[in-house]
Amino acid sequence: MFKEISRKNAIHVMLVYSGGCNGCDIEVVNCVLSPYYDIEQYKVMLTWNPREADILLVTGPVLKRIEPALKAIHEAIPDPKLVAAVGSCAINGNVFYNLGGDLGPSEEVAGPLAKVIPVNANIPGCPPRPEDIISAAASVIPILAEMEV
Amino acid sequence: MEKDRGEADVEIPVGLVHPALLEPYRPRFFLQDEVVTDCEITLDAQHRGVERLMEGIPVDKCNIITERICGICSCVHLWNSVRVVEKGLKIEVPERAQYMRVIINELERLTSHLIFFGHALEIIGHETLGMRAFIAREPFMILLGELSGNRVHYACPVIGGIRPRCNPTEEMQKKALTMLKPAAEYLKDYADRIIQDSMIMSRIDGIGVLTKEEALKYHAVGPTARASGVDWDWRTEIDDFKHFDWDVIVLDEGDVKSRVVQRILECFQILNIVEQGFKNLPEGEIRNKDWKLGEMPITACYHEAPRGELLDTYALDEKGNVRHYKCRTPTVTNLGAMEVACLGEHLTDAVLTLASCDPCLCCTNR
Amino acid sequence: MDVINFIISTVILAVVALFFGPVFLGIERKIQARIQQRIGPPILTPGTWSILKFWYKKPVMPNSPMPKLYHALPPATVITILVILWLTNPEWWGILSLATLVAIVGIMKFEEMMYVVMGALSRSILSVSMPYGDVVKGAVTKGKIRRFFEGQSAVRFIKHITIASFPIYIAIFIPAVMAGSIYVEDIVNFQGDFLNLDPILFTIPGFIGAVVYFVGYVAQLNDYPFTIAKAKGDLIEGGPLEYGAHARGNYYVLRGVWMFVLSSLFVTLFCGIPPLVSLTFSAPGIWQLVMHVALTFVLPILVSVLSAFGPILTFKQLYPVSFGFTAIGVFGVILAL
Repeated sequence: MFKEISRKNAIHVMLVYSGGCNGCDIEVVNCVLSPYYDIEQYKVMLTWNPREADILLVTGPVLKRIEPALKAIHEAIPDPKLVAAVGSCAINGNVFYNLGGDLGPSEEVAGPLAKVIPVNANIPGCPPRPEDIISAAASVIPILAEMEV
Repeated sequence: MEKDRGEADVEIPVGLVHPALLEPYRPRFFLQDEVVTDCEITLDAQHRGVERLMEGIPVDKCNIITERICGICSCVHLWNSVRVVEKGLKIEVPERAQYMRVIINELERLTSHLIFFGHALEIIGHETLGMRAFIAREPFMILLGELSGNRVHYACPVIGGIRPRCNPTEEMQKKALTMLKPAAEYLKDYADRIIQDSMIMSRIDGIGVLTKEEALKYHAVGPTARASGVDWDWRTEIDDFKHFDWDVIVLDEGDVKSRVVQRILECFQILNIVEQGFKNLPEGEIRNKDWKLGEMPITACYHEAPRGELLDTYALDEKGNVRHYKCRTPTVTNLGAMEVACLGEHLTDAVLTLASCDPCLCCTNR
Repeated sequence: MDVINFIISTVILAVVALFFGPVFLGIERKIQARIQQRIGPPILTPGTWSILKFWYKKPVMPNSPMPKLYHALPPATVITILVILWLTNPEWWGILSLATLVAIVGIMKFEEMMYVVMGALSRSILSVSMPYGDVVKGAVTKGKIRRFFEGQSAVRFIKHITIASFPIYIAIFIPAVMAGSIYVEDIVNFQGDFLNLDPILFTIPGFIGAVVYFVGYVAQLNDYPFTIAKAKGDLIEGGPLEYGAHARGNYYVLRGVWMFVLSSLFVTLFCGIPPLVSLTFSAPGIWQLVMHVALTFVLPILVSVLSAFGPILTFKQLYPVSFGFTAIGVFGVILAL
């Protein structure tokens, strides 16, 4: 009983920028640091330490230079954990993975996030609005409360 | 007097994921008793190869991709890329379109400076005033969302004019003017509050000094250079800005406090320009469709991004596809100048110095 | 009877500290949020529910040369801190005649040293071992050692211990000078018993001592503006970076209990109300414990207000602030003579 109550009432979120244009990151930072949106009132707190996090938010298409760091951070988070891909770049690569001229598409992109680590939630938009990010975070919390481990 | 890079005992690398850096790059600080004697910054983590994927695509598609090089300076990237074609093929832009391009660009510059204040105050440790920067920023984001349809990535300029969605109606103009007044008041109170706080000013006064000779030698650009005494702003060379009446702000000391104060004063100039724009917006059409795509030699265009000088060059072949696209962004040289400016400081102050040039790594790495 | 009262009061005081400590963490975050003009988390979220959530996570092995010692540090420190609280319990004064201010100061020193040991034992992936090519051909190769953030935090803690713990030590000795003894029992009896109190707080040297104690309290908690050793701006969190799962819950308990215990020490020494556990309803009875706990809320609320308005002070600003308040404390001691 205490397990479900405590997991629903205290969630820590960690943000990793994996190579995008930073539009999505600014909207996530807006959710956390702007008193207009204030995700802390929904019991979600921001942290910069993977050992303290429950949910990992990743923005941007995953680049090959950042892929080892992203995998190491994902492994450092204790179970149970969830991963959310924020923005079109993390969901399907956006313009960087799918477009190309005579020289072909970009060789630096490892792919959408689902090819690198297992993903539980997708938040579409370029960039998604802060209200979308908050509602996605709120809808993913019951999954976390019910996870075994 | 040039600072020397000296001997060091300890190396502390500051990682790709860090609350002070936000975007992924890798500074390595070499310390002697907690004082930085050398610094090496590696900036290749966000390289997406944008210039390579532009080779041979139609020019309209190229412009949309340049917008997504960066999220904070997206309008100026798109505008400069469109200007290359307009300059090369000699396409005229109607006056109403020129005014709207300037207004949206300057509003974006304002939101970029406000994020800088929020971020710098977070690094100093003052979370409260950092959050007030976001309160000050929100009315401008809402205004931009109503003017163009999206909060970030406005897609306002197109070749020959602006997109029809960005054309404001009469009541939109009146609404914008009434929205600007209280936001400007709040910004003025906020700026006064920062300048009068002695604890914050004692943290940033005299830190990370970049002299005028060093700024010219390392080619610092934008507000970073203007805070060290270099008097240059590319907006004075652009025709669209000649309809407006504004000042270039130049300060002398070159420390972190000058860079912060310079951006605060620039914010008030921006509000001035935007107010003039909405009051004097001329009637007329918004797009010139009287041109044809054809071959164009490599043309270069300079512009003033929120962080400094921006250069775009490309050529068009006979079908109108982009060839030899190249883009050079301001933070490449600004971070190089900061690498020199942070020598001789304590580690905490050195990290603050790197963040004070407002680096935008996604632009740097393209 | 004595031994049974001893055991019951010890257990009840430990439970009170372990319950109210995390609540103080939540109150601090809520007050900071209200000052920042936003709603902020509910009071139980940053403390109580976070600790329970961390205890239900799967255990992880920290990156550390001595993982078992690293994980054992928070519970050991919590028990040592609780000894400070137990030394102010009247049941302890008869049985062990160790309830002096010297013992309390020694235990505070031990708690400060723990952060240095934590910093030496932690190797997070967020600094040196980030998987990125640093030591490659063409890179700068100065520096004999590559230090982690936690190691730098340990170095800074040693400087912090040397400078920033003077205010609280001077402030603790002001009541001793006024009462003429270093035994806690004598200091409490000097201020009268519960029904006719004459607290030291309402005298001039006592008030000066309270102000200096407050500054020392903020420095001991490593809260803004005295947080250079754990600065979020460059060291992210310092020594406790590698605590994950249940160990992080223990670390939060340590922070909360430290907040409670130092505030409770203030109430005992400066207001003269020790945490007497007696389960009767006649005066003073249970009301003394209720009053004591209610008064412990005052200092954390003041700390929250101060920390919302303070930037991180670097060492060159910390030296004058700390020495300035120590000088005020010495002045208070002289007045008290």
